[in-house]
Amino acid sequence: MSSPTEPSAPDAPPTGSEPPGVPAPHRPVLERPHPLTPLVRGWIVLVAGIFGFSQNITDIMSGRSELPPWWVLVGLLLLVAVAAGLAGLASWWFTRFVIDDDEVRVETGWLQRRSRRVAFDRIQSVDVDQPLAARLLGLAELRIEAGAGESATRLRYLQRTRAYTLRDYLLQRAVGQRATVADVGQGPQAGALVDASAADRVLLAMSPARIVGAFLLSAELWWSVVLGVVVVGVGRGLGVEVISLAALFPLALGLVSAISRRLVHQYNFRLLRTPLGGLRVTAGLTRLGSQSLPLDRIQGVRISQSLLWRIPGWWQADIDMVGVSAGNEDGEDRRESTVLPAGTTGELGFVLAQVLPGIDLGAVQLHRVPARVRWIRWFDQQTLRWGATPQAAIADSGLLVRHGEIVPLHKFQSVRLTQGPLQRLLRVASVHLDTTPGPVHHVARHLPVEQARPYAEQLLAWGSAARRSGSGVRTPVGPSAGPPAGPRTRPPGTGDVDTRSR
Amino acid sequence: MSPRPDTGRTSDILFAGPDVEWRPISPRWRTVHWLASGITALVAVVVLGVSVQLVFGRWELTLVPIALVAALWLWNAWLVLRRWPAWGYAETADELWVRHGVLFRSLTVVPYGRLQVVDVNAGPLQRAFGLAAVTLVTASADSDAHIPGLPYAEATRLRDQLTARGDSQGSGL
Repeated sequence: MSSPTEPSAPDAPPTGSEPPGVPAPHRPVLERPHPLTPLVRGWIVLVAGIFGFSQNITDIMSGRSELPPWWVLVGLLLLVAVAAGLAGLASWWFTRFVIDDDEVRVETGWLQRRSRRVAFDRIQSVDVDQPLAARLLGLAELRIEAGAGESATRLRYLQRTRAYTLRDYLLQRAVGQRATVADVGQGPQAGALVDASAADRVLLAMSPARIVGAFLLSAELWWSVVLGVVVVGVGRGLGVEVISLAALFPLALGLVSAISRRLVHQYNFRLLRTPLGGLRVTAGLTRLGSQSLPLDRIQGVRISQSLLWRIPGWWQADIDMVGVSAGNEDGEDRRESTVLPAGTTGELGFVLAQVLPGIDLGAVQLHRVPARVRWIRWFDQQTLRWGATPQAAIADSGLLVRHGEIVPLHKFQSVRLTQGPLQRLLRVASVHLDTTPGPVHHVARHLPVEQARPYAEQLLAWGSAARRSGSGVRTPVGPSAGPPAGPRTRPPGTGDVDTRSR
Repeated sequence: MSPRPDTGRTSDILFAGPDVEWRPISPRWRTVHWLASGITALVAVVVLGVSVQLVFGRWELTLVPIALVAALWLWNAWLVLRRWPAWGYAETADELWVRHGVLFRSLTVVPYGRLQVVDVNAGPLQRAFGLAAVTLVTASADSDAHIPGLPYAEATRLRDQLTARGDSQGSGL
């Protein structure tokens, strides 16, 4: 699938301006994505069409909707699919890329041609995504992110092994290692079921039973069930069952999204350590996605435990990462921020030690807030906690859903001190640590005023010391990294790789 | 216009400046806000007055929306008057401190190393009074280091100062 000529001048006659005797030092070989790409794209559109069609199927069956006969519909659907396939074909034909030992360049566009060249050392992350249709054909999407705010450069679709090879190669180049594509290609390759090669070490694997259990005990499921029962009950009581059925529809949609998020996306979850020392998360039942987590880009961790998860003692952990913006969570650009879908306290301690290496969270002294805060937080005053060491700050809250927000002090963007009128009456104030957009919102709420100001200044001083030491806490952790003591009442993490839920 | 007395001693300590003095924003900031809200009030008066006249057909009734809007404008003008002395900023060796708010008070401290972009904004009304707003943008959407009502010279000085310090103390994300 290689073309020797530049696409900008495919049939241009040789100009002769090139001196004949000088050999071109670098002759990039432009590649096209895999030729099955249009098929995959057409298929995805077809599936979307069938999905939309099936949503209206009840109307059609009951004859309420004046629709043409079925063969017209099927024909239309096929037409759309073929059109999408043709569009895919055009986009495939006009997409060329070169990833070799000298450069990364992607050229796209039909009417408006676009050529983007990515500097190796500006690459933030390289991920491989495999939607179901592509996965069945052994294809994968390669996504290269460079520079915050820029949209990702995506190559759809490459052969799976090729995508893995290029990913591993680019990640090596991104951290400044000299490597060639050919060398990396010789190395161990990841498989079709799990995006983990022999060179990657599995730190944590979630069993299907755990993922299903976590879903069955999740707040989303039980809220849907409780609300559904209430709606149906009220509907029956008032004799307006039709309306209550209509009200059930959004609930069902919410449930489907919860299933998709908790079950389909997190199935087969693996936390890996790559040979380069970074972390990678890979998960997915139908669509297999993977996400590199460079340790120095992790800005904060949020741990949470919903009410029913207290029975088995499970925790979820999410991270803030540079470039993963919260507003970017729609469809294609969705990126995983979860590093632990549902883990025991031991696994939580172990994962925290992996994502925040060298930070001893057990050393953080957590303080309660004064009892007078009950006047404004009557429901969860006793759950509010705050505390910090020179390395990290922790803020806990939540009566039903427990949250803990952990921010390493060499990572915060700013410190804010706020006080509302009620807080002024109660002589308390809140201290915020601002991080990059993401799930973490660290607020030490309702500190006594005598302590709030010194605490904020202490955080600033510790933060500047931690930044100056060049984030020295980021020492490479080996497999035998000591387990951190979990914050608060958590038992110390076992830290042993073999405690994973198998 | 003497600075507003503080609400309490503890808040004084809580939102006190660093070792350097707070710098106030320009008093013309109040005028800009009074004018801006005045223009909005004028538009509201015209729209409401005309609709009341059209619906009820009695000019006496148009006094009701006029009185209402005037009251709102006066209240807002009083708030602006109160808020003005609450604004303050200070540059220490390592950080920019910004405070604002009367009812909901806030103090933001941004280390220079976290600076990503410095924005200088000036709307038409602000330009007429020679004012501009400086915003220090970090990688976080929450850190609101925004200082309005700075005279041009001060805005450009602050911008250059912040970028210079951001360059020298820059720390990677």
